[in-house]
Amino acid sequence: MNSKLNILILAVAVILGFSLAGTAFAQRAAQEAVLEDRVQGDPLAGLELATISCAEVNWDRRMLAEYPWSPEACHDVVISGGEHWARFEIDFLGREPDGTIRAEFIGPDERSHGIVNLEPGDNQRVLLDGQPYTWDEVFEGQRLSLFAPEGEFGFAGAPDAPRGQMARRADEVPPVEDDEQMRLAEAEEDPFAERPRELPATAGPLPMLGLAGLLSLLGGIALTIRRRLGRPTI
Amino acid sequence: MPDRSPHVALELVCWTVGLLLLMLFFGARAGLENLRQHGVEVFVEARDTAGQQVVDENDSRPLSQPAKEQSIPIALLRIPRLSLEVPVYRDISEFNLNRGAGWVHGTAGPNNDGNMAIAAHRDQHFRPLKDVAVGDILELESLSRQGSYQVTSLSIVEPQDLWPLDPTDESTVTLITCYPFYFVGNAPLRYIVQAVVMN
Repeated sequence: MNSKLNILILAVAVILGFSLAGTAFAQRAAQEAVLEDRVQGDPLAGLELATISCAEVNWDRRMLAEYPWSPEACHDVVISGGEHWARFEIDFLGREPDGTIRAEFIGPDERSHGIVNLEPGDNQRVLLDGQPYTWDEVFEGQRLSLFAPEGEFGFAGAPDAPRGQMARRADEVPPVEDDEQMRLAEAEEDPFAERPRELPATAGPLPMLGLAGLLSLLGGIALTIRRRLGRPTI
Repeated sequence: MPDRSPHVALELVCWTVGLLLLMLFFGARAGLENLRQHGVEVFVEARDTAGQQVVDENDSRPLSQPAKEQSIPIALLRIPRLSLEVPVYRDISEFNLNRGAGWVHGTAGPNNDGNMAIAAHRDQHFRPLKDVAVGDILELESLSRQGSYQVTSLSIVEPQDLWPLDPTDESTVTLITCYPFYFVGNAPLRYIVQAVVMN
């Protein structure tokens, strides 16, 4: 009798164990699915766009020195707590053993502006479809938004986040491959490297076209006059 | 008579090519002027609607679309005395310089602290700058701000002379175009107009 009861208890325990494990697995899978779905979520959900463009943001000098591509990489400007926040999009590449975050900044034209290692702020949260998540809860490859307050240095996970939760540069991954990334590397060293090496030439091709047309027409007129004057009179 | 026919053919070619090129010239000028006017209209429309964009999940987010954003001027530059009004685009690509003026990267944004440099063709939109004078008022309107600047200096520099792009403590607008104004092809010098914000 006792052995039958033991077997019954064991069977119930095993079933319960499998059931709980299955539920936990299902919950985790569901959570992952939700998170993964939110890769494509609306990055501006619940946010209010400001009336100024990225070009009009009063960028912090250190921001321009460390990240000279900021105006180009900025997607738009949102307003929160009466402040302007420049919104950037990053591809989250994962966490390093030292806790820093590897992020690739992607511009509005889908162009990469380089990979940056950021030191996350304490308890920093990032928004996915308007909901806050810790860095441990997001997945590699997810597209996330970071926000830089106007006139300040650093990236917040959400607009209006406490200043203590701002991520700052931990290290810059040396650029690789193409000329564009080489150019960005130079820009990192020199905040004004983005400006042209000489003042822009501003001559259009139109005057050449006009001059060529005028000369051709004058040639035609001259030939006509010459032909008419050279015609024998009767 | 037979020895005259090559001359007649040449005469005909000169007339035809000349007329075609001149038609092309005036047609292109009219087209570029239309592009400039269109840029002004697009800017005014963007400025008027910018304040109404509260975004939620169902919003179409018109300004966040990269392609459209590229076509919206970031500012509008005016010098009333010279009847100059030109849209300022976000870079100095040939396309942008044909349809307006371009913001020189690495300089401050419109109506921000620092020095914003703007370049345009001397034979198109910046031709009126040949008559600009110290003391002239320059207006720069961005999507949310408007600044008035007073021309403080006119200079002619070598293209390699980059001081006009240097940052400034006061909010400054620097206009750059080629010099001399009447020159066919790439002019050897640059004409610099600097204007400082008026308090």
